[in-house]
Amino acid sequence: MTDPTDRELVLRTRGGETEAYGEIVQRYQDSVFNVCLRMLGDRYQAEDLAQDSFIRAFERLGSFDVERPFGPWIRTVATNLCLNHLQRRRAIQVPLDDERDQPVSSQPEPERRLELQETVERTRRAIAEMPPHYRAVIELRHYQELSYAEISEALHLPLSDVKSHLYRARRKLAELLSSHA
Amino acid sequence: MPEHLSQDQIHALLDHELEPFELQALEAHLAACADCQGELAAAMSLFETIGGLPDERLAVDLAPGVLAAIQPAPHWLRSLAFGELLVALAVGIGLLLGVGGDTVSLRVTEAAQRIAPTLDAALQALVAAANNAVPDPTSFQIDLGMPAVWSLVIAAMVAWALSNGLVLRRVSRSDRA
Repeated sequence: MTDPTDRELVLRTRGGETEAYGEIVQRYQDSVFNVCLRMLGDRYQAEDLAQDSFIRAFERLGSFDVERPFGPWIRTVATNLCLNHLQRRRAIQVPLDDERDQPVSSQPEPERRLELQETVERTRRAIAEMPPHYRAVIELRHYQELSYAEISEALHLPLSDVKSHLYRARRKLAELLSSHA
Repeated sequence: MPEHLSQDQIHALLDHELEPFELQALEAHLAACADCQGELAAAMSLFETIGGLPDERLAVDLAPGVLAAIQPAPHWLRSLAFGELLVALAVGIGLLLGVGGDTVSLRVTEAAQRIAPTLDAALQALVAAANNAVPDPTSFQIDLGMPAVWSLVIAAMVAWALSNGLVLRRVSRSDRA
């Protein structure tokens, strides 16, 4: 028996079968968590916001177009939720001081692995130090692979702002990466 | 040779956001310009660094917490809370009808009689409590300000809203931890 599609699960959830939503959560919780982790730079906050993202998505499930894929939609919901959270708090998190799962790496050599891990931590730290809107455009473009037009729609920003935010965000990120090197 | 490519153009190239005619012109320029090739290589390196972040594994299952937050309170709890709301409203109305003057003065038996037709159980409890408190309930009066009456009613309504998940329906993971 094949697994139900996202579309079927969404329709069942809309029909009142909330357990079906639990299956959706299990399918997308890792990717949503990673969106939140990249946006917030803090593991515990990321777990909280990932949970809130699913709750928010449930509340707005009526407006979701079931003919479109669920994954990009829920990840955009998570990005916006994190952006709102950051704008409210305006506190710059300094992450990576807590215990973390080991990043997945296919490099067997310890030195190479250590080098990669340092690069990963430097990148996370640099992203976490950027202003919220810069983080959001980086997240949507580089990790969710949205086009400029899709980012504009997701963040309710003019296309020209998306381009300038992206350019400035990358320049800022390059500066931060070289200062952390 | 035309002037060098802008950073916007280089980023748009890497983002696959150029129109075909723009792409053709940029590629022609890049083929002949070492400076712009260097800029492109630097931008590609940055893009690779950003894109090189590995996904981390979520240590917990979020589904139980999400389902707990989105599911309404059990039927029995809602019924109980709704019953509490009715009792509080009836008591409040009874108290209001049994008073006079600026200061609310409660005559227990009178108020109880007004509540009796609809809430017999509440009446019994009220009278029993009054009988225990004083030998002659008919002469017993309590000074009760209007805010106190409304506080009672509002508290019951808030309790009802809480138990129906309308307020504070989620608990953050970090708070639970």
